[in-house]
Amino acid sequence: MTTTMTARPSLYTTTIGRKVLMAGSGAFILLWVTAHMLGNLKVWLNRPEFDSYAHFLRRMLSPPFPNTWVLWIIRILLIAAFAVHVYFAITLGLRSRAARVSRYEYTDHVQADPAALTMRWGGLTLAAFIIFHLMMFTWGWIHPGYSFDKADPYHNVVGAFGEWWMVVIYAVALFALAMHVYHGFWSVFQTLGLNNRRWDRVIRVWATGASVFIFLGFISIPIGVAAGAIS
Amino acid sequence: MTVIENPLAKPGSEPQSEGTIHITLKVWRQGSGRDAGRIETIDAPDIATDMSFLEMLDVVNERLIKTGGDPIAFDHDCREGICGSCGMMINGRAHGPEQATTTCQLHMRHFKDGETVFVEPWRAEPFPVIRDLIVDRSAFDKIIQAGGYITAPTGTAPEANNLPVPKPDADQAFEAANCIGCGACVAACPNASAMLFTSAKITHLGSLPQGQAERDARVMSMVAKQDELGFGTCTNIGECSASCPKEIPMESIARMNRDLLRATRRRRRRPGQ
Ligand code: HEM
Ligand code: SF4
Ligand code: FES
Repeated sequence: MTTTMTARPSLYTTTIGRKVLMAGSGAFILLWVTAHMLGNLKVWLNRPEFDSYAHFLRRMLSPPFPNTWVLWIIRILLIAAFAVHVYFAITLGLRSRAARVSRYEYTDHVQADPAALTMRWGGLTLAAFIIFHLMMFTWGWIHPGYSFDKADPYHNVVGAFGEWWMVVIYAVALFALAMHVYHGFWSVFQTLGLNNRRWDRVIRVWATGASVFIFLGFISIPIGVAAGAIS
Repeated sequence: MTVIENPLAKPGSEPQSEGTIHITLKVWRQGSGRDAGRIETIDAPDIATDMSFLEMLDVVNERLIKTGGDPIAFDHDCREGICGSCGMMINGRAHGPEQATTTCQLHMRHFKDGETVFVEPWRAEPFPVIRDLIVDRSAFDKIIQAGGYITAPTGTAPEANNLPVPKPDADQAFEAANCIGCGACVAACPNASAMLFTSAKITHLGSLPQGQAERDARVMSMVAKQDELGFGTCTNIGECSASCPKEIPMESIARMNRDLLRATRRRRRRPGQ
């Protein structure tokens, strides 16, 4: 018996396959973001602890790898993950836009949560923030009211949050991150087919936990500096 | 915007009769797919609250015809919630404000006296407007033709109990088979994605023993077809399932994703299949 089901698309030519790439790159970025947050929390301990963490990043798995090699491998993977994630966010987003050229005069939603509806604009906000963040702490181009010292990250962190509006910028960006993670974390399971009606609520709870954890962990630092607890 | 006066209105604002409401319709009017289309305001007094939404449109149309107006074109068939043809957007919600209810099963008692009600066709490029509220949903037929069936010799009906089906599988297949192909999922989805519809078919046939032989080919073929037809990309928002008159769950979409990933893996291991 023959079948007429002849299409044999390669996975990544389908919209689902492309979402799988977004889920994989998003999950990788999320793992990295979590590690970054946990590492940053060392600023709460004391200056030598924080500096030794920065030192550790450079010397990861050395030996056998030469210094900074592993750091660079992670950086390259991270840049690749961002490239994939943003490329498909934009192309798939344009595809959806083209699927509804004529719009409703009256729009309403039954249940859609704001996190799900703001993935695209929220994601672009994050992209803008990430560049701003690198300009502050990696390249040292933005340093209001303090001098940037490439060799002294602790000093830079304490200097950065001397201005209240900097704390506000970080709070807004971290809120956008928390929203993105809330929907993204759950989405990974749904996209990879690892969700069903029994696990759904459990995964939602994890997603809430992950986003709250990331938000509080990161925001504690600007607030700690502004409140004088980190100096 | 044209305002059509209520032809039955007597001078002065007389009280509504018992069990009726007076609503204002803002209806999408579009002569044909090529026309631009616009919202038209139609006054609709004396609407009995025990009418269905479609009966209300019938009454409004009768009044329009009596006054030489152009009746509102809308699609319908069974009027009992099983054929899937009566879809329309009512105040921004697919099939109106009630959960798990088709437009034909929606009653006017869910609307308030004096309410303004927007009525629009499904909006998605693969569902072009034919006239007013009627859209062409044959894109769904094309998705079905791409794999929403099992290949079997036809002839006399087989003995029903020849092939035992475990109860949980049968239940799952039945639940998915409830999909009536109405298109509300596409209409409600902010991405105009057809994932819920396609996944209902994948779940329906993929849960049954008869569907196994073509399970991999089916998911690849149907997914490729929905993409080709220009539906949008799912971002897991869930408006589809929440708007579905048959409450097809989001888990169907996860299942379709899983099936597609598995089909791809298996094809890599056994190329040529
Ligand atoms: C840099 C700019 C970014 C843009 C433009 C962006 C955009 C998007 C969009 C449009 C989606 C699809 C929504 C969905 O399918 O649920 C998405 C999903 C996701 N994003 Fe991002 N995002 C960005 C950054 C990030 C960051 C920093 C993280 C990690 C914390 C992240 C993690 C995720 C995850 C885990 C998903 C779910 C993937 C899926 O299963 O569909 N994204 N992103
Ligand atoms: S999945 Fe639900 S909303 Fe979509 S076509 Fe089927 S019955 Fe209609
Ligand atoms: S007319 Fe058949 S479902 Fe409404």
